[in-house]
Amino acid sequence: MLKSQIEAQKEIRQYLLGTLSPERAAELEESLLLDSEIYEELLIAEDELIDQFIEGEMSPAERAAVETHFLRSPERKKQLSFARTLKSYVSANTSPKPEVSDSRARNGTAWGQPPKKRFFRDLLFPPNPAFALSLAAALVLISVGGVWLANRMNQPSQPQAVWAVELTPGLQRDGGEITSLAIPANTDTVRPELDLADDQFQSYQAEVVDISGRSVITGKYLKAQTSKNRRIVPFEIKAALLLPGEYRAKLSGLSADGRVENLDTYPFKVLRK
Amino acid sequence: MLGSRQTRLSHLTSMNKDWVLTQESFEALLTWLDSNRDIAGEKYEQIRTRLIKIFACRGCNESEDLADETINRVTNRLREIGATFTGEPALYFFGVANKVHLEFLRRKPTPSLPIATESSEEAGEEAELQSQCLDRCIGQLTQVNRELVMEYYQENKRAKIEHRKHLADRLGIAVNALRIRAHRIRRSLQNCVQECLNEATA
Repeated sequence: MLKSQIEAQKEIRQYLLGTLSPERAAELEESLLLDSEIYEELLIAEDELIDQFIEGEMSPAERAAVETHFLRSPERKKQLSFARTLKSYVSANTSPKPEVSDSRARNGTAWGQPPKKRFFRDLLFPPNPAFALSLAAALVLISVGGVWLANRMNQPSQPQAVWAVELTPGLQRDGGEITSLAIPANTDTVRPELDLADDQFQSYQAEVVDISGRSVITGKYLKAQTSKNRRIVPFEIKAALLLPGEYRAKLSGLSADGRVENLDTYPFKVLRK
Repeated sequence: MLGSRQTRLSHLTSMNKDWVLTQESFEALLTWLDSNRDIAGEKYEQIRTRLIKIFACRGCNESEDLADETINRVTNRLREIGATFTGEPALYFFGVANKVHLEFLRRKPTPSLPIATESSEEAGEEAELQSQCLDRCIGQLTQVNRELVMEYYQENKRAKIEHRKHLADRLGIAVNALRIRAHRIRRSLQNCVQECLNEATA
C-alpha cells in the first residue's frame, strides 16, 4: 500500500459503505485480488464496521449506508449476528470495570472472574427507588413464571420446552449402565441436574464433553440447589447441541479463593431422536 | 473438493446457467492458473473467495452465484485466453466479473428497501444456540488466544482504544499486530460457530 495505513483504512471503510468513487473502488478491487494484506485489511475493516454498528459508534449517514448497502449480503448478516453474540458473550464473561481507574489493574483482570459482590448488594439494596419498584415487579413475574413452569414440568405427556434429567456420578447404580437420555420431541432445553455428594464450594463449573473429548458446553458459576432432599447442581444446554452419542459432564468446584477442584464425572448417552 | 466442484446457478435466470463446469474444463482452468496443482488449487480458492467478497461489497446479494458465473465464463474461454493473454490471471477474472456485474445490474434493479437488522424472537432462539456454540468454540481455543479475544473485545468507544493500547503494550506488540491477531482468532471462532450451528441444525 503506497498511502499511509490510516488513509488506506479510511478508503477501505468508504468502499465498504459504498461511498468510494468508482475509479478508486476499481483500483482497490484489483488490489484485493492481488494483495493478501489488503484483502485481510478489508476483512478486519468489515468486523470493525460491524462492531461500531452494534455499539452505535457511527453517524446516521454511515448507519444508513450499513443498513442499505453493507448488510445486503447474507454472509454479512451472519457476521452481524456472530458479532452480537460475541459482544454479549464477552460482556457476560468478563468482570465489570473496576471503580478505580487503574489501567494496570484492569489489564490484570482475568477472563471469567465472577461478577463482583457489589452487584448482588445493589440487587438486595437498590440505591434507586424506581429501580427497586421495577425489581419488585420483576421478582413477582419471576415467581409467577416459576410456578407456571413447575406445573408445566409436572405434566410429562405435554411437549416440554425444558426437560430436566437427574445425573449421578460414575456408572449408574442400577446394573452399571450409563444413563440414557431419550430427549422428548419439542424439547428446547435440557437441564441436567448433577447429584452432589458434598456441597462445600461457593460455586461450580460443569463441562459437557463428547466421546472424543471435545467440549460441547461449559456452565460457569453454577450454584448448588436442594431438590427432593438432595443437593444438585443444575445447568442448561440447548437440546439441539446434544446429538446422539455418549457424553460426560465433568463437575468442578470453585472455592472463594479461586481454587478449582475436579469433583465428579457424570457419563450419559443421548439416544437417537 | 476441487475436483467435485459443481456450479450453483439456479438464481441466474438470464445468464449462462445451462453451462456446467466439467471435470475436464476445471482441470484446464487449474493448469492455466499454475503448473503445480496444489498452488493452482490455492489460487483458484483465493480468486473465488475474493470475487465473492467483491460482489458482496458491490451490494450484490447473490455474490456466490455471480463469482461462479465469472469462473464459468473464464473457463469457457480458456482456449482463446491461453493463446493471447499474458499477465496475472486474477486480473482477467476481474474484467469478466465487471461484465457479469453489469449484466446483473441490468437484469435486477437494486431494491431500495432498507434491510431489517433488529432481531426478532425467532432470531433470539438462534442467538441462544449461537451463544452456546460460541462457548464451545471459545473452550477449544488455547488459553492465550482465549484470554486475548476476551480482553480485546471488552469496552466500548474511547475506553476500547485505550484498553487495546494497554493490551498491546502488555503483549509487547504493536496495536496493529494485535488487531490482526484478534481478527484471525475471531474469524476462526466464527467458522467454528458456523460448523457447530450446521451440526446442530442438520
